[in-house]
Amino acid sequence: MAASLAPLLLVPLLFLAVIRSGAQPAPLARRALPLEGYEPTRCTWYCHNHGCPHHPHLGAFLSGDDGLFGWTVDALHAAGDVVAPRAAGLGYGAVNLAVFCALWPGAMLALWVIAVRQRARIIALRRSRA
Amino acid sequence: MTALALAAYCACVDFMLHAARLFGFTYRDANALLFFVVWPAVTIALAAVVLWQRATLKKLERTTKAPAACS
Repeated sequence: MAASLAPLLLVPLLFLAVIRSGAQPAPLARRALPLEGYEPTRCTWYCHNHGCPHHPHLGAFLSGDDGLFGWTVDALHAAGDVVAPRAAGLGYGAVNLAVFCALWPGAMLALWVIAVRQRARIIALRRSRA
Repeated sequence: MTALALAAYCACVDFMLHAARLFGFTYRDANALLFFVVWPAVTIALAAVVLWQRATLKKLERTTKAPAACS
């Protein structure tokens, strides 16, 4: 049972460890989008706010403006304009959160719970037969 | 609610920026790798486990009930 709970603890811990890593750990709760300048050697908030000008390592199919990355950002902006047409950026953020912090993780959690319950039932059935 | 959502959104972007820095990728690469490769792969793997276990459960329940049905 403890092993089945491990991913639910590990994911948030890993998340915290990553954002608090490095020479400049990120604060836990920001109150506004940071305005950072462009740095040639590493990505900063500039890359989020203005589009990342650094040369990607992955193929254009995945991380290009005409690839999956660009298509997804455009789709999120379009969905955001539907959700909040009068507030530029707000809808984009809301749709991002809904998809990547609620719906998809929620579906993963549901799958995980189903898998754990199935596993427990399989073990119980095998024990009853033994 | 808006402040909480903003803090969550910023934390997620901070995570992607720090992950990119840790692995020597760009912000764009980190996003593409997580959302188009790693996360879908984990989701598919989890769905496959659920389907496989469902089939195993059906088989086990059938073989467990079979003797009772005969008697």
